[in-house]
Amino acid sequence: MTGEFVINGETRTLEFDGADTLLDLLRANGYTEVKQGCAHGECGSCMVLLDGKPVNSCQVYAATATSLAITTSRGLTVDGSPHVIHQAWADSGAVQCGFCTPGMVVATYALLESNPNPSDEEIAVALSGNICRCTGYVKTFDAVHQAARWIAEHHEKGGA
Amino acid sequence: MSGITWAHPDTVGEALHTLAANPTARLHGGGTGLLRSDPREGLLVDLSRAGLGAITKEGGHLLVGATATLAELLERAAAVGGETHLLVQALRETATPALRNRITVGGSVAMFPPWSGLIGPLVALDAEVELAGGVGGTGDGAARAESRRSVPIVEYLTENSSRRGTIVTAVRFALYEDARYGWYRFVRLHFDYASFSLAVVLRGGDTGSDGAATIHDARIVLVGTQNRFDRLNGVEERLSAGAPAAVSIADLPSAIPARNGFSSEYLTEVAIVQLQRILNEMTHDRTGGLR
Amino acid sequence: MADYHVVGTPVRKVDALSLAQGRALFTDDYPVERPLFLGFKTSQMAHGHIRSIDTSAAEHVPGVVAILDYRNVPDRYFTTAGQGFPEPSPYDTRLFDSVVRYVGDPVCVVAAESEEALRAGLAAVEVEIEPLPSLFDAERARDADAPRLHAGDEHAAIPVPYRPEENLAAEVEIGFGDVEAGFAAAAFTERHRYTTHYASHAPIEPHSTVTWIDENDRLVILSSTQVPFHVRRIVARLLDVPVKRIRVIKPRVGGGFGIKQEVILEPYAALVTLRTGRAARFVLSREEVFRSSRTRHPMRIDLTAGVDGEGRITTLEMDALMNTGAYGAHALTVLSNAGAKVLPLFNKVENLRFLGRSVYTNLPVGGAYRGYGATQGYFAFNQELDIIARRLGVDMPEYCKRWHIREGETSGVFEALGEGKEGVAQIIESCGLDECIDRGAAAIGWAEKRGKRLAGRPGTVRGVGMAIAMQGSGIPKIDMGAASMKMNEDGSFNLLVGATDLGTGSDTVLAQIAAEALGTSAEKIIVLSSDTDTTPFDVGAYASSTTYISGNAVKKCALQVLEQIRGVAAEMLGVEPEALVQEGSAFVVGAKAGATGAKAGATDAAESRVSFEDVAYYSLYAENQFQIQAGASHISGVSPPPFMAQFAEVEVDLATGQVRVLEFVNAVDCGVALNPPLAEGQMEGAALNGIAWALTEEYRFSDSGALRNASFGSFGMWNAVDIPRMTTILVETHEPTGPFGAKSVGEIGINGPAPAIANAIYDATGVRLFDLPLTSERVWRALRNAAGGNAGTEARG
Repeated sequence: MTGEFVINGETRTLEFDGADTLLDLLRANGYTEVKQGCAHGECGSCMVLLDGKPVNSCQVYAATATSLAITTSRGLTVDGSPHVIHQAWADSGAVQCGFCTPGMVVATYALLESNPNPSDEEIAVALSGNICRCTGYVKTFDAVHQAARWIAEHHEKGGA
Repeated sequence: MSGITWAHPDTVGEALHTLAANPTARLHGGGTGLLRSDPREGLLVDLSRAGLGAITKEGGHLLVGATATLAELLERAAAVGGETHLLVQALRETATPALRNRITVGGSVAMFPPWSGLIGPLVALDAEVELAGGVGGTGDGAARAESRRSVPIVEYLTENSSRRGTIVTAVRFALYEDARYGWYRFVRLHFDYASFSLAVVLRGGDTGSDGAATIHDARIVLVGTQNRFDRLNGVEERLSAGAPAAVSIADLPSAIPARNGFSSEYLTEVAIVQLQRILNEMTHDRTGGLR
Repeated sequence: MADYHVVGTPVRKVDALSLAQGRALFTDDYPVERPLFLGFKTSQMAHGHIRSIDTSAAEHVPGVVAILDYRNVPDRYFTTAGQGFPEPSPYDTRLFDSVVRYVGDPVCVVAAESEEALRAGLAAVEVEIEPLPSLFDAERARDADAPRLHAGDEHAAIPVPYRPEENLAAEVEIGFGDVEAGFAAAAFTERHRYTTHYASHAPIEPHSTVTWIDENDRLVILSSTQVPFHVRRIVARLLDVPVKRIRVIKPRVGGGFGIKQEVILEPYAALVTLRTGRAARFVLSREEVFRSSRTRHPMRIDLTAGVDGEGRITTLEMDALMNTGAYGAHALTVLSNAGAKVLPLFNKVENLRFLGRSVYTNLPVGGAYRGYGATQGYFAFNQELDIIARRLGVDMPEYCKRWHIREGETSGVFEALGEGKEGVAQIIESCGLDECIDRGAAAIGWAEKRGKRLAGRPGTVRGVGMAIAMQGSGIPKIDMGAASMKMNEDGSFNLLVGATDLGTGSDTVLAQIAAEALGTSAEKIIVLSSDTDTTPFDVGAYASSTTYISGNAVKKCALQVLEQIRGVAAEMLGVEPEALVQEGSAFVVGAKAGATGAKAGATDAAESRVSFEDVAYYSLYAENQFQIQAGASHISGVSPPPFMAQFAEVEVDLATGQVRVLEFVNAVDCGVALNPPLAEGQMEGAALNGIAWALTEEYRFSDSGALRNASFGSFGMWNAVDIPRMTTILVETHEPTGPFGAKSVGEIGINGPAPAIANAIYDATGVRLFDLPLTSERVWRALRNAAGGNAGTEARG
């Protein structure tokens, strides 16, 4: 079957199988930043935004995701440049193997959109669906705080 | 190529019509339940665009559309009931934020997994499940769509006849002015499959001169027992009669079976301990005494 | 430290930004032409003889292209363990066998055009297995009437004990002095039995391998591996393909922790590609990673310590039984490490005996898991220390400080206990353990909390516990790493290393080492790693070897390159090389310069200084052209241990046994931390893994030996909401044999949490648990038993 998908702002007509998940669809069409860690909705490495809300793409049937805005970590880049969230993650030592990171970034983006200055507790809850085996999550919190600070600075300077 | 095909009905009537024509079709709310069984053939009926997503406050009730997600219900319950509301306490600990954005209320009710964080609270709140279809053998979809009925959630969960051929369209429960809520689930970690959960609703009047509150209606639900869930009527009666709420194993209609590496003996003991703690805290008055 | 300009600084990981965006490619992200999709069919039975495999229906499933089973694959024995040759692990594995030995043991591989066809093909294969009696209890493995798991031509590749007729996969016995006499003369002895349990490394990226034949008819293996060179060799030997025809490339890897120090998928994918000419893609499901890959070996350790009137442990005996599962990968070496990395720590021991045995069972296969036996050994050792210190009335931090091995000292264990070969004697040249203990104790608030049984939330009590450890830096005389470098026009350098970055940041740290040695910045180093065609040999990422072994190779190589640069600079400036002084990435003529040739007497500043860029252009284009390049290797005669102290504060619910970790402190001496945030990151990740292993992670088996909780959610991993407050202290020493004073740090952090938490539970409750995991039910039972069955009554109505 075919369907129209809006991925990172681009509308694409894509073929898929009725049993495909959104994860299957995305990876088959070049969005390899969306990772498969467990395919059971338990690790968050496949996380994307669906109409702005974080979801595990392995838990969404592709057939039900047509015409909804899908955003991946790569979709957060601004004119081809890394988003400040990417920079904050890279800068904070929060990226080790990086396999969980695109999902973490997406979850961070969703958090900061609704809560620009989150507490540690709020960060923990927002990232509670993203498992990381490398970092122990310690620098993960630093990364989110750093991203929050930079976004706030950017706004102060009159950015969008 | 799998053998999965899809229908995306725009209305409940259309959905019922499709179900009638395809008796082996399966319903899709958010998809998380279906993906557990991962069907490779058959028709899947996607209800996510059939207009069942709204959450409405109707007088003293909240009417929650079947395809409303746990996240949406959590947000709404917090807005109308505050952070201490039973559903808010329970849903904050259920699944993860990303999963709550997909798990639907209707799907959760229809599936009722033993670790569910939704079912205990709904039972304790005496919720009603609104159904469409299933009643009567014939009639077209439109007629069936009209044949909406409401069943108490306990009946829905325990009577298979109320489920066959039906679509859950909504769940409805009262918003109490006079209730205190208690919630506990036994997990090792925040994201874990609960071995059991406790949902407590105590409805009481004004506090007396000694500062202790009276209870006129107590509901205590233990989910995850041999019976799948139990109301602890004995304790409820004692609380409503103003007697101390001491909990013992005799109060459990059925035991909690061994699961997740824990023994039945241990889980049952912990359930009693934790329930006692919840009740102590909930019935504790300002002067420190118990009623 | 003040002299270093690149090492010791928080250089951002070279691939961090690319990974954050999701642009960096992991194995399964690479575009591959029309790959075949591969999958395992695995045994549902723990032990059985394959009576028949009927693939006829599967072959007719549309899209199924090839099926491999024991009848059509090479039947030579090998070990999947990614170790140097000849491997110390027994050769007891075949690609497919006619016997299945655990639930999850691969029975066949199907290769199909699509995932859907693969699924259908696997379902259509019919396997009939005749059950054989199963063996699940390691304690019974060597009984005369125990079922025998390996009865063919399995053999050890090196002369070590191997007795499959007894289900014995490995045996080690070393000792010195006279333990019997020692115990007899001791003021007291403490003897206890400790057990540790199965776990999965659970890297978020599952095992993934892609293979294809390139335009030159060479087999290319792209794999999520820790050991690309071992993969090449093992596949070559197994499939009878010359090494020269194989290229192994490691792209980004989503975590390993030892689970990928193993050659699991590559031979099957390679075989399919060789037979069909098609690319092959083989990615394990999460369930398969839990069930059918590798695990941490469960161990039972009987530890006996004899203590004299001074409080010194004079006599130590460790008797270890290790369950290696159905196959013996790492059976000898993990076992040996339980002694080798633990017993030297208290080196004033005069009488010592280490006896270890690894036995087969019909259960999932043990492998290389961070800590590698030391983790199991330290669970026992650190509780023993807590017991002894308490019995002596000495505070554990003081007890540890008094008796641990110190700089300038050695232990007889180093020489006695190696990894398959003899051990190697060594003297400790850097040890900051005292400072680790002092600063860690202060950070956790030891004095304020120890023995105080402070109350937490209602019904709970708090306690603190600690653990110490040492590990190693590579395997002495066995591990080798090599590097090559060449210089480019702009003063940048290509650094080619075999060393394997799993996300650990080794590419970055090695770039820092090169930059430091050269006097340039890390940004000028372009790292290419882990490609068997282009990068020189490296054993791979294991045994905490990369920073120390590979780093030393990089340093040597960089210094050689620097010499060449100096030589060219001297030629350009018309002076002797010794007359030049280096100023960062430039050379200047020194004050006492002796000038020769045409440029004699030059006083113009422009003719007395050349930059690296100037040198590069000159060397490539101007005169006496040559490529500035070098290569170097490193092996080490020693394995200088990092040292560590860890501290845990717990809160125990007395009525339910539930344990919360409130705070955790890491204090580690890894020599000079070449990149402090990366070193911290290694400690933090390892520590949380250790905490989770101590309390919640576990394998639950059915009565028939099937793993029941093969998923992240049911296994018991911790997420961001579960974690304690964690502090990491880097204690700096200087290891003279390490690159710029560094030792390795990748494994040690996982060794302390379990015993620290067990010791903390004891501090809080007076109850000691000797068996992992420390589940709430076990704590509850222990509390009940201690109270004579009355525990928890205070919480009742």
